[in-house]
Amino acid sequence: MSDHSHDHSHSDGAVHVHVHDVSLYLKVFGALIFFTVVTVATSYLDIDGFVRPGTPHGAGGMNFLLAMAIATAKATFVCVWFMHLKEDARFNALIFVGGVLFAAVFLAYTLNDTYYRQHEDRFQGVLVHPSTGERAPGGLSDIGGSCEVPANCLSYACQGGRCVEYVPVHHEGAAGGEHGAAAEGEHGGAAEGEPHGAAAEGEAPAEH
Amino acid sequence: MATATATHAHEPDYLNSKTGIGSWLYTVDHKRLGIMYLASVLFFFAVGGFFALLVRAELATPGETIMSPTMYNKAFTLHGAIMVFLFIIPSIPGALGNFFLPIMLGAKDVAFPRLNLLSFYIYVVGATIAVISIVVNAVDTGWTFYTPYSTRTDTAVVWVTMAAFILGFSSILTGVNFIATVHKLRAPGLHWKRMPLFVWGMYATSVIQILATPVLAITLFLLIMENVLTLGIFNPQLGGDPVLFQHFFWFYSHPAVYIMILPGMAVVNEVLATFSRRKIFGYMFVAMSSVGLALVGFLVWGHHMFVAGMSEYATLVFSGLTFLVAIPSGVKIFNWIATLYKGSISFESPMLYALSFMVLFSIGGLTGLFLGTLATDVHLHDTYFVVAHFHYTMVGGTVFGFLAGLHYWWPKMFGRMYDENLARVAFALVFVGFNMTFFTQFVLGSQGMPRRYYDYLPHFQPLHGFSSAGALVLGVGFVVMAFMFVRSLTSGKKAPPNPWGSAGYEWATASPPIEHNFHEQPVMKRGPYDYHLATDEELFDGFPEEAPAASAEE
Amino acid sequence: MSAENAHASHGPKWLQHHFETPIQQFESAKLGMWVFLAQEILFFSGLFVAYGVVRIEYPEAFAAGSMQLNKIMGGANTIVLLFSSLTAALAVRSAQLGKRDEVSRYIVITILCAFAFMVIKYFEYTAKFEHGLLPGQYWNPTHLVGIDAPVEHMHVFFGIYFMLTGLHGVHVLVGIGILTWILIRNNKGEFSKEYWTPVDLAALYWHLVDLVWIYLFPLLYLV
Repeated sequence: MSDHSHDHSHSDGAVHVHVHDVSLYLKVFGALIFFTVVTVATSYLDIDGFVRPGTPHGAGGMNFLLAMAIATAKATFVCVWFMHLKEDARFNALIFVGGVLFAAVFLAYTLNDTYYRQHEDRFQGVLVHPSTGERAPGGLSDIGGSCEVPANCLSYACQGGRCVEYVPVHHEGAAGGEHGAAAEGEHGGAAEGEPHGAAAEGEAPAEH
Repeated sequence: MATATATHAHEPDYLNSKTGIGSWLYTVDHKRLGIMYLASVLFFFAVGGFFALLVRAELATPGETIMSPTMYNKAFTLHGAIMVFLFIIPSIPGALGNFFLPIMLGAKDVAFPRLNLLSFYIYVVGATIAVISIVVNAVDTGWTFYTPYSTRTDTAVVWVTMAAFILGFSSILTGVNFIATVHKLRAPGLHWKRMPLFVWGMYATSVIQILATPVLAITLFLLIMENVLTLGIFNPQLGGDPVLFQHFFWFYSHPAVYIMILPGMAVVNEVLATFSRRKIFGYMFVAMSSVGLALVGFLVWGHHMFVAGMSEYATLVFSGLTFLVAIPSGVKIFNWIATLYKGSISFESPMLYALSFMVLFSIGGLTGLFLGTLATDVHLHDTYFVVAHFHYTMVGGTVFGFLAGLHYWWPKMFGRMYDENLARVAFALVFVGFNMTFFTQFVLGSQGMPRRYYDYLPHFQPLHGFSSAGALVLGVGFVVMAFMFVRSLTSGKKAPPNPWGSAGYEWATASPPIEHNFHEQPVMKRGPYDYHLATDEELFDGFPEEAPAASAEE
Repeated sequence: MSAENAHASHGPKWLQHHFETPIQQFESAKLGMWVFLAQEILFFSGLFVAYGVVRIEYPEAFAAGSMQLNKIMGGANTIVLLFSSLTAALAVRSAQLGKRDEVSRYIVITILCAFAFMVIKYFEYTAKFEHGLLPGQYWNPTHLVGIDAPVEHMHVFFGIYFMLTGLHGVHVLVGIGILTWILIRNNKGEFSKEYWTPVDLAALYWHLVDLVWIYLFPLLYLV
């Protein structure tokens, strides 16, 4: 980091920058428009079906990847040329890239949780997946085996292979229990009733 | 590079250079803004402390003691929200950082003085809205505003989150200002390896403020919108995911605990070096451990959510990464102990606070490892153990660090000494009261007392009563301290420029400093802890009031 | 707040008293702006994370929701915004050369593009309001494109759609304000070949608004 305040290469202390030609900006703009047209055009194509016939449109993620790649290319053009990152101080570029990197950490770690929640774990589990009511890992309530969920069970846990019904406890800290069942009732699954660990968390102390 | 060449005989200090209420309200002087921040955060510290005493009073006996359950929920929420958003986060950066960061860099001001003023007024607006919210209907969600409860309660969630949203921008702008100042306004000769560790700490704090606080802003914005427009992102009734809210919230709020603790550590560096008359051992390791904590702090937020219904895989990753935090923390503690070793230690009140910081923060940090371990966290989660843990880090850490800094720099800020004996009495009360209050809570928590409960089983009564008594002692300690500081302002002895015999750069100016900090552009020829290079004149006689022709640093 | 110009003895009027040299002021301002832009990225990142999580949760709802958006209008808006980014960059170029009239001309075009963007956005929003494609409790679809019946949880897509485009729209409005302020200062003759930092910073902000849209457009309209 050689950005010491009194150690400038320009001894006169004035600001000197290289001024680019207008044609450069026009070329970059042309590229941006070109990419925009391409990305709109490819959105009409079914790339997934083309790569692997039979895949529903968009399900393979190829369209998504292509669109993101094009967007990133466009963003790079804007950053490097319009925002002058190419000839700006390296540290400024580092700040910007660092910001993107931390946003990526945020996204990746959060998805690491929410994505894997949908997978069945035979050893441990509480219901955390709100849309389907699938059992998903994340708690320690059924160590020692899995068990059948009674159809009318609002909230439950497995203890030693035996299903124990939890009666929802109403207090202000735990507000998950009843409304989930009311809202998602059309699924028919009673397991809907326990939408999230937040409720389990509130109820657990009352049980022990 | 010296610009001012005229001799400044009796140039007035920053407190007297301009007069009138307008000269304070529109000031762009970082020192005056620091003082205004100091007054504000101390006021909110008192308000937050008042709510803490209410909570402890209620918990002194089982059942209803002084207030209803609803009132109790609001009291602990307000205690948490006010202490976090209005006191701790702006405390050291806003007050001490604003005042001393530019002076320590040998600069005339921060890089963007008007932005600094704006940042203060954003804080004022946010604080005002927070106060309005108390009048409207307060809030009873806990300071974390967890969904789905925060989308269902009829208390003033929107007001309080709006206040925190606005306060976030104050924090962000302060961070922008400090980063640019540290990079671009260092005095000649002040290269990175000579920067005071307080500045390093502030720099690391600013990095977190920049990268984490905007996420809080968007989180609270989405929460407000969830309440107003029912988006269905966090609300499970509409298909949202309440655990997603916790991800959002802790992506900010875990790094935010480093926004709180790093400045405390930063102050402790300065105080330890001064009162043991030694160069900080392993300077570069300590500096880098601040930056390391700032970065590692972003990878561990999930450890707040182990029992919230996260996926098993994510809990493993977060638990493993959590232990990384212990490394830079340990580096700091060990280097501080090595600094003290064979130092010429004296026990003035700032040093007492700094040494307590080391002890209390170690307890707080090590109990954090229990909570970061998956198996023990399941038992300790949401018990008083957690409450005790974060009070040991936040109060034992940050507040003690803040008090160390306040005592240490008080003579520089106001040009007056305080009554050292009274300061030690206040310290003893605060230290004893704090440990009575919170060590008890470790025991309570490990016995299974859940946090945030209004009522408890009779067999917890002795411990709860003892904890409440400790809170009272703590409160008395702060009252004594307030009295001591007020008396210093009205009738304190005039402070010399360097009352502690420190080699730090900030002691090279007058007490209190003149409006432009230094008569001439200082040139740094040694590090801030180079006691072997500092002249006797600098250390013992204090720096000269009037700058001679040569720079005061030479 | 002209207090800081009171000590102007050491340099030009626009050089603030606590800076030694113009380059120091310029570099500080640029660094501060980039730090602010990093902050903006993190601010929007929350919405993108919400988008990612909910999209994985309800892929069908997102596909159906995306179909309701008008690709042509979105594409037109993309081109308008890219063009405004071009003129903003050209305004900086002219400022670097000290051509004040050109700067004004380019900034006016940029502001006009921003208004055009908001007008197109207004028509899009009006259509969504009319068709009841609104978040949460206001969800009342009356007109759907490409599907016969609303997909479950489709309203969440529109919750995110309105948050993303709404906050982006707020940034566009703020950008209009900033550019207007720069225009006024330029017309007053505050900028010169030596001092054009504010033009540069305003353009950087405007490019960021463009950057966010570059990602919003495919995420919401195309995939």
